[in-house]
Amino acid sequence: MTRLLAVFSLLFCVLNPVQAGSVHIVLSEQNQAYQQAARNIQAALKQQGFDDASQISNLAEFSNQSLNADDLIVSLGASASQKLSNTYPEHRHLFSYIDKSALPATPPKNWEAVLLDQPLQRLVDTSLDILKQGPSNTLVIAVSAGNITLREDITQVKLPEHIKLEVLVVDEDTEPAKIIDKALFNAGALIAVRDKHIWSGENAKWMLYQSYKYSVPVIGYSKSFLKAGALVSVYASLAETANATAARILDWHTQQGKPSGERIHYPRYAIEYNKNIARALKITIPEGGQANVRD
Amino acid sequence: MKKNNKPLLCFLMLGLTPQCGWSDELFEDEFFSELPVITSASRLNQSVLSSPSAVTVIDSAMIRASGFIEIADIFRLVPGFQVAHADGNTYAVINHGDGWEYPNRMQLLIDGRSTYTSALSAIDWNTLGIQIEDIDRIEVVRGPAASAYGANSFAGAINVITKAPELDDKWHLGYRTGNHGERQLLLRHSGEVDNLNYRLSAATRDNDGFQDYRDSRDLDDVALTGRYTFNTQNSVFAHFSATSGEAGMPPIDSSNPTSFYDRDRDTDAISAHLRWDHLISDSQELKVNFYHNFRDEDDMTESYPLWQLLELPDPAFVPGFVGSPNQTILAGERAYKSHRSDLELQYSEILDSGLQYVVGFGGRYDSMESKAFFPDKGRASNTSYRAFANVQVPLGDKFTGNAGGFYEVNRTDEPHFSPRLSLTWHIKETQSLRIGYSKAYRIPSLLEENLDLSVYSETGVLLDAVYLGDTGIEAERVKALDIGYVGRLEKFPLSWEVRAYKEEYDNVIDFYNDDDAGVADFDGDLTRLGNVTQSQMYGFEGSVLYRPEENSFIRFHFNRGHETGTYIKEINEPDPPFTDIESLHSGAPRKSYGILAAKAIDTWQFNIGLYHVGTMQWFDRGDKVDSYTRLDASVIKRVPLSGGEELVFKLGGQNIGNEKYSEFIQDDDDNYLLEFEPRYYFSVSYRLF
Repeated sequence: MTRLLAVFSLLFCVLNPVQAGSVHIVLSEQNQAYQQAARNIQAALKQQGFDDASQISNLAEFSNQSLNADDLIVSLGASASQKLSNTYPEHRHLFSYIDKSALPATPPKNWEAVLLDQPLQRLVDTSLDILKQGPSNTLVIAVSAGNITLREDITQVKLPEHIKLEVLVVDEDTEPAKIIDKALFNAGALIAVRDKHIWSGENAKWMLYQSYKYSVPVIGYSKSFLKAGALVSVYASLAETANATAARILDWHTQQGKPSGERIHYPRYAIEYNKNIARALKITIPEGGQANVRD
Repeated sequence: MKKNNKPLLCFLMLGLTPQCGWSDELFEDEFFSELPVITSASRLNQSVLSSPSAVTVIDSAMIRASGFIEIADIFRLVPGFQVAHADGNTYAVINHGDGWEYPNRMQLLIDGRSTYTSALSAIDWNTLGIQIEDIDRIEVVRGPAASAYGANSFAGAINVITKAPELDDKWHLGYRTGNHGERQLLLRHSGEVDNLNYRLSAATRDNDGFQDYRDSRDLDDVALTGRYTFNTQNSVFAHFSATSGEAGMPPIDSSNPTSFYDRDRDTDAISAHLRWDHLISDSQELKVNFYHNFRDEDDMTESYPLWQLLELPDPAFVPGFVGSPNQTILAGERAYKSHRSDLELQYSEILDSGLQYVVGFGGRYDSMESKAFFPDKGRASNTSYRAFANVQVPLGDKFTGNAGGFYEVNRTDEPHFSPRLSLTWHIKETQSLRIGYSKAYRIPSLLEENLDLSVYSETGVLLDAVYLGDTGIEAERVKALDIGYVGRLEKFPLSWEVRAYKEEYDNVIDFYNDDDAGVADFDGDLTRLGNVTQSQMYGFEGSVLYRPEENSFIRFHFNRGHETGTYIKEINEPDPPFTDIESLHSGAPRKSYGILAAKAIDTWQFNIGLYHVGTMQWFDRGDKVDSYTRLDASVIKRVPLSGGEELVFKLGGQNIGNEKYSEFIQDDDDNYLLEFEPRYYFSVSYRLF
């Protein structure tokens, strides 16, 4: 669908040349990951038929640069998004490769975002398939006390009546794996959320260790989780994030800078199971549970 | 976000050479926080529903609820296991009977470190190098399991997994006091320095043992456990522990009050363990495991003057060629030094098809010298090599096959191969039926191989030929067949595991008397050690667990078994010479069961345990003891303090309400010699987690 739209937009562009401004892709850090992300966006734009004239620069180079009023600033990562939305509050912004919780607290007037993290509801819905197979109807989510955005998202989650959601709020100075065990004993699934204190480095390792000890399947949000020991992961590949970002740039171009109406955009995603974990936990992978990209 | 040290060059080249781009994996890791790979073939342990053997899992919550304060007592919760306090500091843990004060047919691994002693192949439960508070869970394989757990996994294998230092309390300070002199002071601390996580523990443990019996205990322990993580795929686990102290020992000859002076056993036990865990990928793992165990025990004591030792009325009765009537003799029961070094490499993999396997090989060096049992032989040693493999194969959706083997070559015996096979039918996702067969060997211990003790006078005259091991003593062997049914309800927290079993033991090594050993000593007889026993055990056992919450549960376990068999009690009995072969029928109790119930209410926890063991025979120092039923109970109160701190109070009682019972020694007139009287203790712990 997106590609059809792109082709249609391209034809429209060719027939009706518009005068939208330049596209500035700004990297939060001058590292290989962001550079690769920028190039992926450029490649996706090209693939979607847009004769790209975007400029790539890092945050330090770009600061205080004079821009035309109709230019689009594409910020990759949290630092660029925060800084540039303050510096250029009147310009049009597209934030990408960013989590919802990292979006600028005081956003500019015109902005859209392509997010890395998955909608929590999507992970919850996936976990419901797993809960059907086990003795427990309890879902567990661990979240840092300071992660206000996620804690608000959790309150918005819609659940069937018979499903119980147990939220473990973890202080910054507490190691989450040390206190998760009580919640895990009766849990049917543990949902991993984008929270660095809980799900990165050694803390993540021991969270996964504890969940395995209690035979509780983990629902992850990136492909890395599959290798790390989660039962299933609901994730958007970084290539899909680049595609979605390119689609927003294209949309901005075809609409001559007019807002699309929706601010938050999620890339297409996949649901993938780890067969070995499923076997060890005696869980049957639901029909169509293997990776295939979904809108 | 991690800094990358080489982006510029790559960035410049990106446009020219697309292959310079990152792998998707690295790219993902940058944005999604690199997650340590924690799954591995060995961590993907078999579900109990697919296990090739009968397995009992006891976790830390159950241990806490049991109220047991000795690690050996925990095995009262295992179906078919018997536990006895042979004295105040000696614990016997056996599976399906045929036990004595130093049972030697069990493997005990602590985080991969084997702990049975080189000397007797017995487990000294006092010097394991861990405290009961360190234990995260215990997996007990009931029956032979050499292919999975290595040498000496003969009647069973116990796998103790301690708490990861990373998940343990930062501080744990505990004090326990009780009747019979029970006292423990414990300090445990966990922390981290860069990539090193560690736990330091120190304890002092005392008790007075049984009343009117010389079996007190006074031990000090220190242990350091750590894990250094080099990166997500490499870590080194290390453990060092030392136990030192003394324990009272019963009389060498209780029938003669003027034989030997009272004695204590001094013990020093040191263990060092190193393990490299290397995750090759999320489906392949390599482990290299090394440990060294050292023990030095000494309970040697001096005799009364020879004329008193020989119970003669006067020194003048001692023949002159023997020497002075006032000479003394040194003797002991546990006096030896031993070393064990063991190195093993293990590779495990799980394939996409679901087939998973473990292969490995290793070597072990044991050495021992003993003043008490073979003073003239100096140092005895044995080197053994082993190779093992286990494979689990899914056979369609409904069946799982398991096969394994353990091949052991050692310097003093012929090579042995111990196989294990099982087929599991997955009746449902939550229930399975298993049929399994296994065979295992137990290589004689260094002491069994070398036992040779004779007592000489100062003039070199043989006073007493005491012990002699048979030449050509062979490995014990067991064949076991079982059918097990394991399952849980889908929507109700009830699980069970039951099985019917048959075990055939042959060539079992035991002591027997030789009434006419051809030795020119004062009494003419000799205690020999040889392959003199064969037995068969069969029965039905299992456990049922209702567990709605971690600390609220009811668990019932039982065994209904029977033993038949024979053993040679004595040879060359007069007259005419004959061999006294006795039948075995009560070496295992006909019936045993236990119930453990726990209920947590807010900050309180109430626990009760009931244990019954039928009449059974213990050998050597032990007796045939009456059946007993005992009741244990404990109450735990937690008082949360601020900032992750809490105080935990515990009041516990064992054998509450019963006046006394005997579980190991009981004389023919049913006068208990070791009376297990009610025991009570109170403990308080401070925890910071």
